[in-house]
Amino acid sequence: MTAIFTLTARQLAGSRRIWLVLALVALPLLAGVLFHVADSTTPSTEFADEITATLVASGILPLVMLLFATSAFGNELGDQTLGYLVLKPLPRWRIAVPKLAAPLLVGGVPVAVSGFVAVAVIEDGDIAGAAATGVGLLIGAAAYAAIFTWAGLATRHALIFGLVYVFIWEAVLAAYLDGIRFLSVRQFTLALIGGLDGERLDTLDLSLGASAGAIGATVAILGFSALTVRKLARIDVP
Amino acid sequence: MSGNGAQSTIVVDSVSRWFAGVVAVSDVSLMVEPGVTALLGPNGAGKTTLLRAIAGLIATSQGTVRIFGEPVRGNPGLYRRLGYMTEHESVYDFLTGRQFVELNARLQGVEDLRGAVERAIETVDLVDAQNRRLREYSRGMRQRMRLAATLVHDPPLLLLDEPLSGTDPAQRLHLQDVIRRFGAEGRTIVVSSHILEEVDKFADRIHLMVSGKLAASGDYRAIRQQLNDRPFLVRIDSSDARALAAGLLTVEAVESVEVDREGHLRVRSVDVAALQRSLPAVAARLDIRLFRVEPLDDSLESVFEYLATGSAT
Repeated sequence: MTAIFTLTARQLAGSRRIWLVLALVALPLLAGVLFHVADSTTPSTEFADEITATLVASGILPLVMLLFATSAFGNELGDQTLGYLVLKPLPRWRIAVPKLAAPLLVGGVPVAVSGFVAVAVIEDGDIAGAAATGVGLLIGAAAYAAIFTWAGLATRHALIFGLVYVFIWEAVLAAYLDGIRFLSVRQFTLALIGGLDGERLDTLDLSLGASAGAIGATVAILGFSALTVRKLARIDVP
Repeated sequence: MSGNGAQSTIVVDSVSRWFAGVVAVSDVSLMVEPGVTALLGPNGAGKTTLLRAIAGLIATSQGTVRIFGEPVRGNPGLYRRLGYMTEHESVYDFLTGRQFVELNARLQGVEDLRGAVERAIETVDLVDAQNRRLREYSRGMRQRMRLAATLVHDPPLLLLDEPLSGTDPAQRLHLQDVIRRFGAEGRTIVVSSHILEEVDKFADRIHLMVSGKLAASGDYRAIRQQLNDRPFLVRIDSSDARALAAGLLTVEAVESVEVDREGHLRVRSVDVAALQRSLPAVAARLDIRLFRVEPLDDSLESVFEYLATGSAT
């Protein structure tokens, strides 16, 4: 599995989109520095919560994972190199798992670290709150990775699928319709961060509890990983 | 199907594959045994689709494929004994040639990784270029390194889709030699090609595909003989088509003559060399000027069509 993981990580990190991702990941850090430099009157907890929920969990995290995870298989399909992987005596899960893990490393880890550092800076070294943020974001990244990696294999229009999911389903519909918050990775992520540190995201109205968030993220990760393995076994390879 | 399927490496039984209503392969049955077999046909004949179905890269719409007696689709363990070089020339071009072959060896679970990689690269004669990135390779070099990656796990069955495309004459000779050698070692090699003369260099047997169907199967020499016996159709523009037609009817090599609506003479002959010798003499004797002599059915498609149907167009 290491060979496919390394190959995919190199493919993703070597693309031009890495620069866009680095710019996005720098934004929370910049916000943290500006908060202190600008001598803001907003309470630090409130500002940290807004940065976490609005900027990172709702914007940067899904966007970065969308760019990387849809490319994990999407690049192979587009370049017609998938044959090199599937024509090997490997159970399909041993191809799918590293393909899912690589975008998590290249995209999810930088976003989680960025969230961690930003909260630590804004909250003057609140390591517990920063760690909760980082871990919650990483689990959310894993859920997005599973969904978008599957989409990259299942449809040629994975980017459109992902944009609709992130900016219509999660940002608009799930924000107003309580019933579909159970199908939103953003909500899972926020619930996990709030659950890992009771003081984080206190200023926000979280509609899901930590348990629901953990279960939702687990189901998304396992469910879409299984779908990816199934698709890989049945796909007509170009 | 005929013959003993139990001894065949590949058994394709009544396989069809269609894409959105377009039939790419239609009811093909064939068996492939050890040695070098060519899958021959013009572009678009369905060779690649059939090879992909044999390799399990695509599902069949109808029919079955068995390799070493096992179904291939959904049976990844079989890839330990199979190497498939696809028609696509794409590679992970950020890797060096050696890294690319190593990657394939690693994924195949090759035990003596270093030894296997070195042998494969030596086989395709790219030792000096192995540490250069694939993006710096010529098309022919990339083809050869792809072949090295295909055979690095030493499989008894190789499926090679147009392996010689993009190679220069020297590389071509080398690869033909490699293919011949592998066949002589007792491996089963299937090579697709659209160039009849090319397969002569390495193939013992031919399966000819035309328009998605298996048109002919057999020994290369028998098919080549059929081709030599094929009548040719030649169009002749001259100062007096009718007089020339009458004159050519006395030539033994001429099967038939016909003057079309535009006044062009169409001559059918089974011996083009004899016609070439006779035509100037007949024209001179009848004081007819020749403006143009053009073969009408010399295209590759025409040749394949003739082999498939037994009649010239």
